[in-house]
Amino acid sequence: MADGPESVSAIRERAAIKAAIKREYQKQVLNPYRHGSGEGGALFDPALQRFMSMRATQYDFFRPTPKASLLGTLMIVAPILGYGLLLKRDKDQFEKKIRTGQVAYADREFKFY
Amino acid sequence: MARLVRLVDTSRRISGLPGVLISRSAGNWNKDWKPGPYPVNPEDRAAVARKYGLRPDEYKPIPDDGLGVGDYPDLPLVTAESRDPYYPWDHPEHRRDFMEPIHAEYDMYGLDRVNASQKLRFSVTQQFLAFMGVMTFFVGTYYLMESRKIHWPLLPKQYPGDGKVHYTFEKPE
Repeated sequence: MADGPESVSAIRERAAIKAAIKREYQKQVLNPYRHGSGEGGALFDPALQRFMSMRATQYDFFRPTPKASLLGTLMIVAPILGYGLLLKRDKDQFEKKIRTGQVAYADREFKFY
Repeated sequence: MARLVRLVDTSRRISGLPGVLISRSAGNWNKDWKPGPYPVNPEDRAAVARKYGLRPDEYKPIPDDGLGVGDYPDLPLVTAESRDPYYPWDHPEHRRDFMEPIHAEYDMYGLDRVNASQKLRFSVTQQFLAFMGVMTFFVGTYYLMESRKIHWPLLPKQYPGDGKVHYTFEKPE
């Protein structure tokens, strides 16, 4: 446990790096000549840039595995097809009722024109 | 890309800070900053961990199960709301420091969105059971008593109709 990620030496290292980065950030943010050199505005954050690029290129890392395919089928294909089939069944039943004369004139669908 | 690397090396020597990247924003393309392929060798893992600013023993890539994102790290989730409000963050509106590695679903866990890493007073199971209990009581009562309604003790209204006799005017005995 002396060298693990939760050891005292690891915590000290992380704290030292974090303090150095914080110092550097304050120096750059309060640098009055940063605008003059052409680089002004928000300080470029590589971690943020990596996150944004990751989100922009997520499709490049998609692979059609069984799990991914199952998820796609369940969440995309099944609802669309299922809803379409339900709707068709409903409509066919109602049309059958109409064509065999089981729907009264007073219960017709379009009454108001 | 070569100029960027040389600029990085120069800035590193100047500031004496390993791992800090100070680059000009002269075009940051997605192809330069996107995650690499999923790391399979241990040597790759050490280099990739360094790239993301993590220690090699605390770097764990998101599993490559078809829905993964290459070598982007699987960071422990600490939402913005769960973080210390009194610490001097570099970006207080996100409760995040400069160059801190960002969780893969960071936009979902900001201060104005869901707080998934909080310690709930009632667990989700308890909440669900309480909801189902209350709804079962209401729905069950309706279902059982709908056919057993209680009415006011009223007789039907006596309207005059053809041939109907409601009252014969006989003398009381």
